[in-house]
Amino acid sequence: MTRAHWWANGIAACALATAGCGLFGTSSSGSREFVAISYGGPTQVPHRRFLADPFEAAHGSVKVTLVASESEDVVAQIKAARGGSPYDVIPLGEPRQIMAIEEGWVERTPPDTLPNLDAVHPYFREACRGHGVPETYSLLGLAYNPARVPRPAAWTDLWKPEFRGHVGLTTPASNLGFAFVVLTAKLFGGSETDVEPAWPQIHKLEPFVVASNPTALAQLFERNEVAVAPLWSNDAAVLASRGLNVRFVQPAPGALILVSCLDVIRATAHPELARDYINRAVSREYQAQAVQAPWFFGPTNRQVDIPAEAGDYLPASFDDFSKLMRLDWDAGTRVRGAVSARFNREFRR
Amino acid sequence: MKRDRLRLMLPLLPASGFLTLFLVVPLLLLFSFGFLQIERGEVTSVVTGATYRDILGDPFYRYLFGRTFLIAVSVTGLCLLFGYPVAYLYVSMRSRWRVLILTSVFAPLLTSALARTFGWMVILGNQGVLNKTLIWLGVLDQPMQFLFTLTGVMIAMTQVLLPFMVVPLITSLQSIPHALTEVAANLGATHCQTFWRVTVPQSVPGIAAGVSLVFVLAFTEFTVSVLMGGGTFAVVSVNMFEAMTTLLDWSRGAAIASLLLMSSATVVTLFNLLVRRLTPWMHTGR
Repeated sequence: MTRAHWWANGIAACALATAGCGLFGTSSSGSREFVAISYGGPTQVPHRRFLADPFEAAHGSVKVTLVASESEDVVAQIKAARGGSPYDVIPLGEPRQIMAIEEGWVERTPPDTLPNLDAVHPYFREACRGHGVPETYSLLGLAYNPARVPRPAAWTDLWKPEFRGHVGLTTPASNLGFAFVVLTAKLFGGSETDVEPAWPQIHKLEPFVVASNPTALAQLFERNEVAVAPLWSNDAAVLASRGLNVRFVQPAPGALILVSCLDVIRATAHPELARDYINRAVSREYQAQAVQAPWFFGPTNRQVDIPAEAGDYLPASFDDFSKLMRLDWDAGTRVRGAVSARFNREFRR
Repeated sequence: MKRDRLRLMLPLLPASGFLTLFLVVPLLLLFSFGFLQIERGEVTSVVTGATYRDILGDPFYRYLFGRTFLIAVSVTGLCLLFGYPVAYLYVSMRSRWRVLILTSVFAPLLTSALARTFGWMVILGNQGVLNKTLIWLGVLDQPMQFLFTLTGVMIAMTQVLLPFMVVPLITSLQSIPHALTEVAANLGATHCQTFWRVTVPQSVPGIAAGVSLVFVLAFTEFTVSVLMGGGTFAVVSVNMFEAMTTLLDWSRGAAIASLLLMSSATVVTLFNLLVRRLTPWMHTGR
C-alpha cells in the first residue's frame, strides 16, 4: 500500500465515522423526549395509561419515556450527572424525598405553577415538604398466602411458630426494608433513631429470604418461595389481580403509611413540562383512575372517592388516617446508612 | 527504520486512544475517588486515606474478600472440571458432532446472563423443576432450599461461566500436534498415560487462559450473586453496589472497586507466573 493509499483510506474511515456519528445524533422526528422515572412492573400502568399518554396528547411533539426503577440506582445516576440529568421527574418515598431535598437535586416547585395542588389533602402536602407533589401513598402491611399460612392479625404475629420458614424480607436499601427494620424497633421498644431492639427480633424470624427490592419480593410470592412478607399495598393488590392466592392485611396496631412525592429534578432540560407533568399527577382525572383495581394507588386529591373494592388495601376515607402508623422519617433518614450496613452484616449469607 | 516502526504503530492509535479515554482514565479516577472525600455527590478537595484504612482494617471486609475469593476459586475449579471433558470430546469428535458440542457450549452466550439466571431461579426454586424431580424420585421428602444459598449461586455461576473455560481449552487442545499422541502410543503409553503426560501438559496454556478468564469473571460477578443469592449475599460486588447506590458512599464504593480490581489482577498475575514456572518447556521457544 502506498502512502497516498494509506492516507486516503484513513480519511475515508474518518469520514465514515463522522457520518455515522451525525446519523446517530440527528433526531428523525424532531420530537422532544421527556424521561420520567416510574414504578416497576404492572404498577407502572397508571403512569403510562392515565398520565403519560394524555400528557403526550396535550403536548404534541413530546414523547414520554417511562423508566422503571426502585429509585436507588437512578439517584446515583442523577447525582453523578450533575448539571445534566438524564431524567426529568422522579417519584420518591418520604425517606428519599428528605435526602433529595437535603442534597438539593429536586426542585422546590412554586405552588402557583401547580393549580391541582389546592385539591390535595394537607396531610400529604406536608410529607413532600414543599418539593414536588404528593402523588400517591402506599400502606405497608402483611401480604400472605392463605393456602400456606394463617391470616396474621398483628405485626407481632410474624414471630409466631406457624410463620417460621415462610417469611420474606427486603434489604433496607429499599424503603420497604428500611421501614420494616424501624417498625420492628418501635414494636419492641426502640425508635426511629434507636433501632437496636430490631436486630435480635429480626434474627428470631430466621430462616427467611431477603430480596433486594419490593418487586423481587413480590415475585417470590409468585414462585411460592415465601408465604408471608411485609409488602406495599399496591404490590399485593397486583399479585392478587393476577389470580395468585395472596391477601393483604393491615395488621394491628396499624398499617404504616408512606407518601410518594413526584419531584422535578433540578437539572431537568424541561422544567415547564416537568411541572405540568407533576401537576397532572395530582389531578382528579388521573387519581380517580389510578385508585381503581388492580392498582389501588392511594389518592391524595380530596375530590377522589376510594372504591369499595380497595377496602383491604386503603383506608375507607381520609378520616381513617388516624388509624395508620407514621414514622418520623426525618429522624429515621439520619440512621439509614448505618441501618443498611448493619443489616448486611447481621444477615449476610 | 524508526519511521517505519512509527507508521506501523499508527493503526493502533484509535484503539489505544479509546482505551485510554474510556478505561485508563476512569480507572485512575476510580482509584483516586477512594482517596477523596465525597459529600452529597460533590467531590471535595479533601484528600484522605481513611476510606482505604477503614476497609482494610475491618474484619467484615476481610471476610467478604476471602469469601469472594473462595467462591471464585471453587467456580473456576468446577468450570475446569466440567469444561475439560467437553473440550476434549470436541477435539476427538467428527465435524458434525463438533457443531453440536460447539452449539451447546455457545448457546447460553446467545442470551444475557440475566435471562440465564432467571432460568436458574425457575429451575432451582422450591417449586422448581429440580426439587419436583428429586421429590418425584423419592430422593427428597420436601423441597430443598437452593435459591438464596451459596449452592444455588455456585450452580448458576458455573453454568454461566462454563463457555469461557471451554473455548480457550478447545483452542489449546486443537493446537496439540496429533503426532505427539501417536508417538506416545507407539512408545507403549496407555491412553490414560498419554492423556496425563502428553495432552494435559500441552494444554496448559488453554487451562491458564480459561482459569484466568473464569476466575476474574467469577470474582467480580454481580448479576448471579444478587439474583440467586438474595439481597444480603455476601460478596464484594454486591457490597460495592450497595455502597454506591444505597449508602451513596462513593468514596467507599470506589475504594472497594479499586481493591477488587487490584486483588483480581494480583491473583491472575501470580497464577500466570506460577504456570510459567511450572511449565518451563512452554516458554523455551521449542
